[in-house]
Amino acid sequence: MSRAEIIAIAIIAAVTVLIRVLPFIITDIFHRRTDSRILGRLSELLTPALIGMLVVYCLKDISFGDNTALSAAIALTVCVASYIWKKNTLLSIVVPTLIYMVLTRVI
Amino acid sequence: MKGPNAELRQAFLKSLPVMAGYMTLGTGFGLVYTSSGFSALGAILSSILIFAGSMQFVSVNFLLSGASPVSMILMTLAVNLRHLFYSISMLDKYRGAGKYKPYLEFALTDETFSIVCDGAPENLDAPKYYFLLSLFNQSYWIAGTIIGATLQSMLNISFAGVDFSMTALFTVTLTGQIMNRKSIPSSAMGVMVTLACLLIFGKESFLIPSLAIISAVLLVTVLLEERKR
Repeated sequence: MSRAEIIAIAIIAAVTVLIRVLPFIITDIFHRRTDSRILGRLSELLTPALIGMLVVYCLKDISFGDNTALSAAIALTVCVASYIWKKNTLLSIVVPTLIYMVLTRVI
Repeated sequence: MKGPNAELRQAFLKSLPVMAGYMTLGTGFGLVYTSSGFSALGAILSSILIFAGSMQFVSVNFLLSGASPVSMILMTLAVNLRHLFYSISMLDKYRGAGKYKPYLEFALTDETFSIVCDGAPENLDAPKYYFLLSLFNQSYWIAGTIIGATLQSMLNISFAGVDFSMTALFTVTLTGQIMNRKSIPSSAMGVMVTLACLLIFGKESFLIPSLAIISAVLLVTVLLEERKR
């Protein structure tokens, strides 16, 4: 295990734990509830926006015109269409991934 | 009808729907992490200590691109902010959970949250039931990770392209959000801001500006909504 891995896991784990325990700690110490309507609404809007961001982030290395782009386009179409059709998250992750892995090898 | 292991049995039954998802995605994570050239131990520790799927997948990209600690912190804060509200919603349910409480707080994922929201079956030791449920769920996630890491090291074949599972995971989530009309504006804004930042700043450094602009736009939106109330 490399130093970089240890650092990345430690940072992400620490921030995630902090987020998860903070409301409990604040309630225990100050006997006050951390119920902020503004923060709640922000989080409600932030989640869909960040998922949109993450989709773009995942596709950032794909350059138009090469074979990977075609494979990704086909796999993404299957992903979206199968989800609209069956609404089965797992199916729409596993099948497009397999399709992508096969296509990038044969195209 | 409460037997000696009623909590164990109920927790296991309620965790079953999570099993397939966590085992499969965990396997995907184990494969993606190790086939990107990182250690099996790292993958497993990640699933034990982080236990937040989206960020675990993103961490692989961070490691590959040598991202700075600051961008890791900001990204984790933003992506996992929703957990703050899962915890707030569980303040009452988890109060008085005693020795189980630290783990209950740590292991509150999207899936566990959605099951715990329904409460505990009657006549059960609720904290113990929540604890076992969380533990079952995390054990599926860790087991999947171990399977993925093992497959990668045992089978002498290339898993190149398996990282598409991360793209598919987020695409499915985005599709679900778009089908639920309410979140279309935020989803669309997230995609457009990120695309614009990718064009302007390039793929090495578009993440932080994207995060900053998305957060700023939404914060202003929320504050304007508040003023109208």
